[in-house]
Amino acid sequence: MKILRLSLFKLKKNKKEAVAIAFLTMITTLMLAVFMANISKANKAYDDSFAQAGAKDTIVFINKDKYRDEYKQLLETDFGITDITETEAVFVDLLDYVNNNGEDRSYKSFFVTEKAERKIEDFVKTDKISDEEIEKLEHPIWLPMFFHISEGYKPGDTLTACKNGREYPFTIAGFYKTGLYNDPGYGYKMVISDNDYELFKLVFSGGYDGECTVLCFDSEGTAYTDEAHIEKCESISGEGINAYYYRDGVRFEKANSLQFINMFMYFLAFFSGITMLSAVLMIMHRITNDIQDQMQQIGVLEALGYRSREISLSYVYEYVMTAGIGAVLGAVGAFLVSPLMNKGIQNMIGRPVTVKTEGGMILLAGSAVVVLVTAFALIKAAKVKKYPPVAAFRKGIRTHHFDRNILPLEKSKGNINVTLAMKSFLGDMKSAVGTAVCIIAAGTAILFCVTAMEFFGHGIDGLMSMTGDDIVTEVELLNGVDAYAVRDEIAEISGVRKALVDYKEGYLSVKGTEYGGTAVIFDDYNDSENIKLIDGRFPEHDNEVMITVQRKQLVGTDIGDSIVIKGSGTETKFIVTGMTSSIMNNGTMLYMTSEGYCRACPDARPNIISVYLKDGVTQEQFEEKLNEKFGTFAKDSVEAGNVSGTLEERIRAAADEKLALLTSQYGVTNIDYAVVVDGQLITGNSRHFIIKDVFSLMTLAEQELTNVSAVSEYGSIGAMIVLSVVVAVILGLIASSNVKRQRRKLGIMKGMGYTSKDLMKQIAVKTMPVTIVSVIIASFAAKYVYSAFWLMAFGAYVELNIPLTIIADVILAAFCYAVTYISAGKIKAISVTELMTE
Amino acid sequence: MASSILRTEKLCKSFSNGGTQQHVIKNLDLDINEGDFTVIMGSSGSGKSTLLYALSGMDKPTLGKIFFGDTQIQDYSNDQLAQFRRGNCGFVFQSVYLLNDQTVLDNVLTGALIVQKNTPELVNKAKTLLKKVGLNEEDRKKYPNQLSGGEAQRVGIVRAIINDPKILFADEPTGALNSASSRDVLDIFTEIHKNGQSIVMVTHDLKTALRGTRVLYLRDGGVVGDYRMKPYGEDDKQERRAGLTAFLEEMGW
Repeated sequence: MKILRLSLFKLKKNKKEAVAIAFLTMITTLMLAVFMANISKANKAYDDSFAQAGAKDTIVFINKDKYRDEYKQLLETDFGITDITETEAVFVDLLDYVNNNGEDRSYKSFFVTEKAERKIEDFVKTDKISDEEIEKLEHPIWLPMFFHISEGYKPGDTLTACKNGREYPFTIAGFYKTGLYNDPGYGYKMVISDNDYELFKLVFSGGYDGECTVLCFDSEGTAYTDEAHIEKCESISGEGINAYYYRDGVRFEKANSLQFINMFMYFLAFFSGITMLSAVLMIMHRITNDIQDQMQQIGVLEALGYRSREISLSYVYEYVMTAGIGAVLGAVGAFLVSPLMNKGIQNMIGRPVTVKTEGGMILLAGSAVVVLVTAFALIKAAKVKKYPPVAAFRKGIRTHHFDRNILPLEKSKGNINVTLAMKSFLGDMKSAVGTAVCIIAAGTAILFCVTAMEFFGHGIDGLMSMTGDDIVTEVELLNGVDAYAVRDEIAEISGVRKALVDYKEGYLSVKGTEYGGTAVIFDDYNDSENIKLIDGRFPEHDNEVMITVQRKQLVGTDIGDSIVIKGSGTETKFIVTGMTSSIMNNGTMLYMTSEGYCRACPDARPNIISVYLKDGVTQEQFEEKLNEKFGTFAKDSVEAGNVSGTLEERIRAAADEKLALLTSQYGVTNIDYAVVVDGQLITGNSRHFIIKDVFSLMTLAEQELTNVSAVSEYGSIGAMIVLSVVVAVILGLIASSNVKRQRRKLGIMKGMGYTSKDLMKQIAVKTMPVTIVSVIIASFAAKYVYSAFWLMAFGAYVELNIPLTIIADVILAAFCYAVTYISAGKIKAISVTELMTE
Repeated sequence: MASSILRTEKLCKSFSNGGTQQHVIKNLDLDINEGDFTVIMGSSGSGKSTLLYALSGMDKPTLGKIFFGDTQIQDYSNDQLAQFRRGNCGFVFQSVYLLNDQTVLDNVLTGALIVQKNTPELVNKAKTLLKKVGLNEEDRKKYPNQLSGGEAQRVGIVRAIINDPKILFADEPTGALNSASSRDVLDIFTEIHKNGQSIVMVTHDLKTALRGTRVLYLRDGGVVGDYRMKPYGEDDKQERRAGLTAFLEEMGW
């Protein structure tokens, strides 16, 4: 009890320092608790939504035209999968929609009937309009819960699908729980009426889109891989089905869905580690100083019969109580933040978070902080044992100096305050180590945040730069159109900076791995603007491919290795020439030349013009000019028959409508027609249709990345502010500790005529060498931590912004100086007479 | 007639003590002349040190005025007082208050360099003064904890006079010294005074007081006795001692 009273007395005496340490431990506990309580929440929410939906862990869609019953049997015979559900769906790679607010959206869509959905999952409905209202709906649609949770759609809202100039309006009947296909990357499974399904079977056919056979099964623990299954299917049918085979598994969708959440969690863990380190170092620093400052009191207590262990414990209790208060506040904060985190996680994964608050984890985090503080406090406080009463009375040997005189004043030049500060610093280098570690740790995190803030501060531009592909406007041409000629014409349009011939991106498999990838094709990679070469060189020949760092991490393929790419019915060997990085498609993209792509997919034809618009030119402006040059797009001519005018004009419009349908939907390349009306011959052809469709990848990227970018930006700003406060608290503690330790010296100097400002300057300048060195070290550390973070979170290579870091370094150093100077203001309270009469 | 260097008008200094005001200096009018060696004596708690700190700008008075020459300093801010002290005052303390982490020479120069630029002349002056008080080259490199009490106080004196202050204040400078060291230190004060230095010293020691030219006796916050003497060494020592003793006995010392 008497020890506790001693501790309480000390706590009362050092109130401000106690508040500072409680703040550090509070921040540490808060971040650690939020990290520990939420790291598994998203994963659990994922698993729970699977269980609640009655979903299987794998779904395979195979284009109906390519499907054979043997494919299903293969799963049973060759892969040991027993419970396989078979049904149908209509797949549309990227379908445009207009939502309730008139906003354009694009979703990869899988349409199923209710009957089919009940085969795939249990079709557990959540929010919906009333049954009576549903019955009245002409075109009801049930959307996976992502739309409700993340996109903010409500039952009764409209969602209009748009294809080839036609609109297919739906009313949202409600939402349902689903396992797979509830993710922006993998697409969405939508339940529609039987009539609408039949219509979509007709509307969406051709190319990779169209009706599919759906196979649902649990593949975990079996030998199933999509690559092995495709290989066996192809060996049976003798035709390539790779491009018509879509697989989604819980592992893949989860990885895609959780990557941003994991990024935030790593952020939190990293920052809590830094504040923990700072808090522990500060406590150790404070205990050492306290023992030295209170050496005489320790001597008195020992003389009175207190054992050194008891005195040590009084220090330990003091800091354990302080840290305990901080930990409790941090834990309370974590409890309060929990609903907010749940909402954030729900929004990001589009699934309900079922675990409300991980109370145990929060308490564990708080306890861990207190235990750690106790351990380090015990180690430091044990120093009391070193001082028997007599040594303590003499204040140890701390006040005895026999060292070499560093920076003798007789040789000094310049400002005396700076000289004295440097002299003091050089004579007390040991105590600078703790300060340096704290500033390096916190400085690293601050510089990390500054660059992250700048990175995300430009909207989605930062994330866009990591996509590993050029984000352009794509003009899709009708079959048979000379892409190179059109490219030249588009390049001449004002507002166009560059136009390149491209291919409609196809999905390719890589033999021996389960990680296939989308092809990225450039004739000359020097034309690309957003593909960064990390190692090796870009592919130049038709047998060369560039892969991503993520692929290297996933399957171990490296530069110089050969891989076999399976395209449409072919297996082609490629040599890996280079390495890049991409956050898209889990970083599995494959980069090759046009010739290379044609080797893998011999039937591929260039039918895309990638258009790079000049700054300030909008998509609408470009489309207007494109329209002027090439006439109506095929998709916009589908409803051209409704125009008014003379009989001939109306007949031509009606004919155009038919031509547009045939060319844009059925791949017809050339049509001539002749019509006789009242003896008048009207002829025409399809050659004036050149452009099938135009779409902006930027719109799609904005749809997917804007929220993440905004959250990341605010997160970085918040973290930077918190860390700046942590640095300020640390420096404030150091400065006030300096004032306290040097009370006598400062009083003497005041007596000599040094003003408070002179002395504050000396204390601030004294910390500058260690601050400057620490900030420089922190810059290098931040460079590596930043790169490592992105590599770990996304497998992407992102460099620290060096000019910005240099500016941030200067600001950080100035901030440290200002904080120390202001904190040293305690000197003002020391009067010379107070010193004399002590 | 010597001109006044320090003057007070109705000077008061009180301290708050557990809610009650303790008036230590009460309406004190005082005039200290240039070139005088003024000794302030009095019983314990009479306000000697408080008066010294107020006169020297170490502490602010509660009421009243303090004139340094023609300048009033009682309303100066703490920083203005610090600047005033560095330009005009030197201090010698009973506890010496040397900076433990600095050598003897650096202790002296720390006091000097806040006022003057670092020149070879300044360094030589510091070395010469240290030599004058009996500290050789070897001693200059020592740290305070390697010095005897007398040596430390001599360093304190050199530090106090390095800037040629207009007035030198000393608070019981021999209070912590043995008799031999005290004599050495007092000899230095006498020597400095002979060279024209104005000194104000607080002491309760008769031997120390004998070195002054004027003794002020304080009681209950006011000057109750003012005794003048010739400069030390210019009269008979016995007669000087007898005169001062009689004055002090009269004061009730």
